[in-house]
Amino acid sequence: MSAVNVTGLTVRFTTETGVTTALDHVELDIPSREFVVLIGPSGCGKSTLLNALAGLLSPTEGTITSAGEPVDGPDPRRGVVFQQDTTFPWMRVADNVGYGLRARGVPAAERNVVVEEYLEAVGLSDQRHAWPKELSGGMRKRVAIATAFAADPTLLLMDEPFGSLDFVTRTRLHDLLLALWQRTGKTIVFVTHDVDEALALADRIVVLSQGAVVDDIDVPFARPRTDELRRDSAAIDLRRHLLDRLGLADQRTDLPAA
Amino acid sequence: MTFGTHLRTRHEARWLMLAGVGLIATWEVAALLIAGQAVRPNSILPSIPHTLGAFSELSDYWPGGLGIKATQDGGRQTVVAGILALGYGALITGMRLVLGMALATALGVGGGLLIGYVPAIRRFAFSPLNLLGALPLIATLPLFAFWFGATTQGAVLFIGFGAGITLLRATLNAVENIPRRYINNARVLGASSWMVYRTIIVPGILPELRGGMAIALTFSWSMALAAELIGIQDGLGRMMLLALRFSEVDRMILIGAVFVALAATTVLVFDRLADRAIKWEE
Amino acid sequence: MNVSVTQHRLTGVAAIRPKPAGGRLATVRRLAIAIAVRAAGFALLVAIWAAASTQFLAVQLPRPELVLQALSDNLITAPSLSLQGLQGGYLSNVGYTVANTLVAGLVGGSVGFFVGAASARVQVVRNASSPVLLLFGTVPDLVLAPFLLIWIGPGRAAQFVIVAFFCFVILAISTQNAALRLPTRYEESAATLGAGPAHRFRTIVLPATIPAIIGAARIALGTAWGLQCAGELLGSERGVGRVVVLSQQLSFTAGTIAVILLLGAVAVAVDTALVLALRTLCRWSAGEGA
Repeated sequence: MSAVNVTGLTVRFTTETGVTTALDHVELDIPSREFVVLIGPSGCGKSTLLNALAGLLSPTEGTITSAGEPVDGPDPRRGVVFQQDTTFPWMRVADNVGYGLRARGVPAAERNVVVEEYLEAVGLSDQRHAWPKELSGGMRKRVAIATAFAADPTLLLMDEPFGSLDFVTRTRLHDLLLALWQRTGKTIVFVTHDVDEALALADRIVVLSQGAVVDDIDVPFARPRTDELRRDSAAIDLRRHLLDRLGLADQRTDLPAA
Repeated sequence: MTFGTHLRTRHEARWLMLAGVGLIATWEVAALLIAGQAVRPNSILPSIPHTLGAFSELSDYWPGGLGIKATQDGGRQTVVAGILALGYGALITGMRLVLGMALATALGVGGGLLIGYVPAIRRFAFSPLNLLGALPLIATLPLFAFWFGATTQGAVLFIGFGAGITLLRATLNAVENIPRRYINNARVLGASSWMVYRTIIVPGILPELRGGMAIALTFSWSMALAAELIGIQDGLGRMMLLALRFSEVDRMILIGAVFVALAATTVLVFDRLADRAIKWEE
Repeated sequence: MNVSVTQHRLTGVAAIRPKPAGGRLATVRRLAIAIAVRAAGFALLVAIWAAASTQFLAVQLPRPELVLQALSDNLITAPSLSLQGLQGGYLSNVGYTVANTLVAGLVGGSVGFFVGAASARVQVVRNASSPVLLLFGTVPDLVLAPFLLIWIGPGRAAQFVIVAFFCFVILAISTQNAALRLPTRYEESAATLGAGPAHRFRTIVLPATIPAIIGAARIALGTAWGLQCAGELLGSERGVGRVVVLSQQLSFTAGTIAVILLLGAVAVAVDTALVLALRTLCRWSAGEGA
């Protein structure tokens, strides 16, 4: 059974200037355990699609099912890592990581075992009693990832989670995310506008533009993927293809003649 | 050569001391000048030694007890009785303030959390509360005195009502302003509405509530003082009024200083408690 | 795309909803809804009051229509209160209170604004002002009232000093905080573009602190009405406080409530004007205009 099935999904917003169609009859099927990256330029509808998958937003038309059940609201089986910092500042790191388990009524002793496991996995065992304010942005993202994994969803939705981080931190978090993904076998849908991030992570890249799926590409490169990928000719071709799709090919800035 | 853009000033504590010294010097010089000219200098500005000497005169406000007679029952004016009178007044005024603030917190924060639970009711409540909050609440003092008598009970209800409305508005605002992303995150992690309220809303409002609480606290001191200046028969405000009737500025300064110290202490204690409650805040 | 996240159900599920639609018609509709909600809130208050008043005597809690009656009877002249020496009716006495509060608030607030802004950028001003601001930022300045009654006597001048000083302190502290909190990058950027200190103050510090200043002005005025009344309760020939004292002496509770409500209406009107000013002056600001 597919992890996600989207049929005829259309989302329209009424804005100051009239009706905007954010998603226009999107069709998408994601098998279990796949790592799918949604990529596209700003305003292409990729975050809207993710929010619809999460059940944070109801479709204007069309249906979404997850593991065969219709999506009609947020559900802990579909975890979300948000773009913004959502670590609860008034809870210590360990309490943040255990939040989903607590919501499910898991007893404290049992909860602690899972929390410790994921704190260790993301390398924050020593910070378990720290307040979020004492952590760097990258460490807070680790908390958010540990929180999402500890709640044990079958599907994990990630909305540009690493957008605000520096290159080195982001690369480390990619490795961490892939390791956790391989260990736990979750399905991941990851939104980004960064082509290199997509190439580093994805089994499959879905390109969105103006609310529609315009490309759906399998990424064949072996894992673990290293920086060597930058020199691989197939990867270079795919990268150029994606940049074309994002609209970078035919644009040159020419200043008007003085 | 130095360069750069000077963009910020700093707090420099030694200027506070300097200001204190300056105030005392100005006071003493002004008092000396006045003493040379006025017929009754004490009803304008007494000198510092004269003011300190008025401690024993405060005995007049001691109602009697602890083996020390009230002056109207033939007791002598002593420094001990004066200090007792000040302490007694401070205790009574402070008790009214604490009870009033407790009532205001129960009504304002407790009520705000109850009303705030349902967003539709919360938003609907804003407009009538803003109307109530816009009323000059201190002016309702004679009304409270009329309803409940010029008593501690009346003063506590007066403070509870006035500060309670301030806190109710602050609580509803704070609930409204909790960043949506925290609620979203809790929901997708499976939290129920009740758990969101308990674990996100209640701790999340504390930083914003702190400002409202500080305002309500200062406002409560105003209300306590006004209630005692205008009707109630005891407390620091009443002592102030009695001294005012006979233009005894020396006594007024002593009473005022105790009032200021008491109010400042509650604010400092509140700050400490608030720091502790929201030590997680950046 | 311009969407806002709103909530539905119990504090619960957040959904992404479009912002209200544009166009003149939509604006009118939104305004109509806002007015309807306020009217409903007002009606709710009156209904609660009317229900409560059936449980009490009229001298304790008069019915709403008795208060309206008191208002219309005493608006221009207040016959019963004039026997006790009151000049004019509710209108002229509310006018006295409003004029005093606004003039004192404007004077005190303006001085407070300039001192606050200057104290955030000029160390001498900071040093000179911080003792006063620290003390009266924590202690209510009503404690000065008895001294003012002795030094300048009861009346307009004493009320003016209390209200003006209060507004001075609130505005000075708020402006200082806002100017200190303003991220340095804006002024640094302006400096690299060639703006001198005075120019930076006028074009960066002033506009950037306006939302905080208007917010502070609303808070200050909200308390200032009451403070002016407290000054009048302590000793005044005129004003709302005086009317309240005289009315309660006659157990004329309907009159007390009527005159307080009249002043409250003016207070709401002034506050609304400040909100509108905020919206107009701060269209660039994302948060504070709402």
